[in-house]
Amino acid sequence: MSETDERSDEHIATLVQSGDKEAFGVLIERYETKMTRYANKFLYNYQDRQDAVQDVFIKAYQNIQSFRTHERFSPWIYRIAHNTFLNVVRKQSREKVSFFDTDQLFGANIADEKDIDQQEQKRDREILDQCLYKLDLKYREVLVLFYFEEKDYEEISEIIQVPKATVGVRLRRGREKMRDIYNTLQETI
Amino acid sequence: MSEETKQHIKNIREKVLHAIIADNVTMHSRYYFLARTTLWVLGSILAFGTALFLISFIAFVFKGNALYLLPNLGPHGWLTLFISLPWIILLLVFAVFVILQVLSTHFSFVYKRPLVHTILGSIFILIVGGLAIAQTNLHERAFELSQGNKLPIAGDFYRKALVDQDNLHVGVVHLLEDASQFVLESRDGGLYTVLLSENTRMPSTTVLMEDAFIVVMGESEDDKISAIGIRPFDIGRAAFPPPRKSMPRHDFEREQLLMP
Repeated sequence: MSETDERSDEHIATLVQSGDKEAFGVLIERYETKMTRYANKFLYNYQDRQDAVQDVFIKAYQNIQSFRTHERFSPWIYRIAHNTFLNVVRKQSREKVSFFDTDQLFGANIADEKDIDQQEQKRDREILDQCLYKLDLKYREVLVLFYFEEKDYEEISEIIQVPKATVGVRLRRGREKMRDIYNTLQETI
Repeated sequence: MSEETKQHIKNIREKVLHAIIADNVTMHSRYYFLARTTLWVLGSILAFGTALFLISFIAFVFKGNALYLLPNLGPHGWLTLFISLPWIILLLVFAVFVILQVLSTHFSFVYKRPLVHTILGSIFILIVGGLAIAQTNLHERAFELSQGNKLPIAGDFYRKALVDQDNLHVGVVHLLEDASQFVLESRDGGLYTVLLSENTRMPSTTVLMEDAFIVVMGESEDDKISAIGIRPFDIGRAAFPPPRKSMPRHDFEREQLLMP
């Protein structure tokens, strides 16, 4: 379980599937910082965060046999984290997440913004950090995955199980809303 | 990384690994997921099959009750069509469709596509599939079985499906004597005198032949129908209850001879 372990996540997941419990420790080690950082953007209470992240790893272990080793491990565990954190948020705030979402209705031809300007990304990230808590959950999750977890459209689409085009639409609308919130905050200051 | 975060992470790792090694947390077996996926697939197939069956049944009701002719009767026909639509079955189709959509979001080939594509795609497939099934004699056969009480669960469903609508009379031509009237025997065995006029529309007079299955459009009063339109009834015998042995068909010629 050293830092220089070069085995892929998928290979380690195969070992866990075949009964190597210790190998799961390597996966925890690799993902615990990411999961804690991801949880920070949704859960503001220390204890809730700790419980939720712990829950993610427990669920990942319980469901590891459902992981298909020819696929990537990262979106799979992020999917578990996404569901776990959102369930906690929903329970706490009774925030409604509708089954029917207009963003998902139509396909839009939106290009993946991998090459977005680094400076602009940095500025967006700073703004986002300040007004994240005021954003709707459906925009918050996409923006967090894109700006903080640095996931591309394909991965975000896998994690939140929506079409890639919807990811693009939510990113665009989320950014607009984020700037509106930021401007309002600046005016009140 | 702050000391608090480092400690937090360490705690998580230790707690989770301890729970796993002590077997407080167990892994679900491969069969558990296999069974779950199988149930999901079977549920989707069942919902899809049910929707297909119901849509084809609606097509059968349309054909069997000649509902497609109602718009020919003007605004009253449209209203009758609206009232005669099998609303309960349509609502059932809607409910099954929603269930199908919910079940199908489990599969990546569905959730990766825009909702509109999935919804329109499944509506198209269900309608085409339903109409294709309606072309077979599945429902006619089931209707026939239901008449002899040989169709256990769905029997009642079929028995109540084919009924004459207001101003739309399905029946068999009898006693075709002249160009102005004939006798129509309806599906429930009732006899009507159909009055023809210059305004009665029909594709050709060949529609009116003894024992032909037809649909007569027009208002009925007592046992007389003033026909405004006559069409052949394509589905024919299949949408009629089979003649019962205890109730033989009318012997019209004999009845006439006996009439004073």
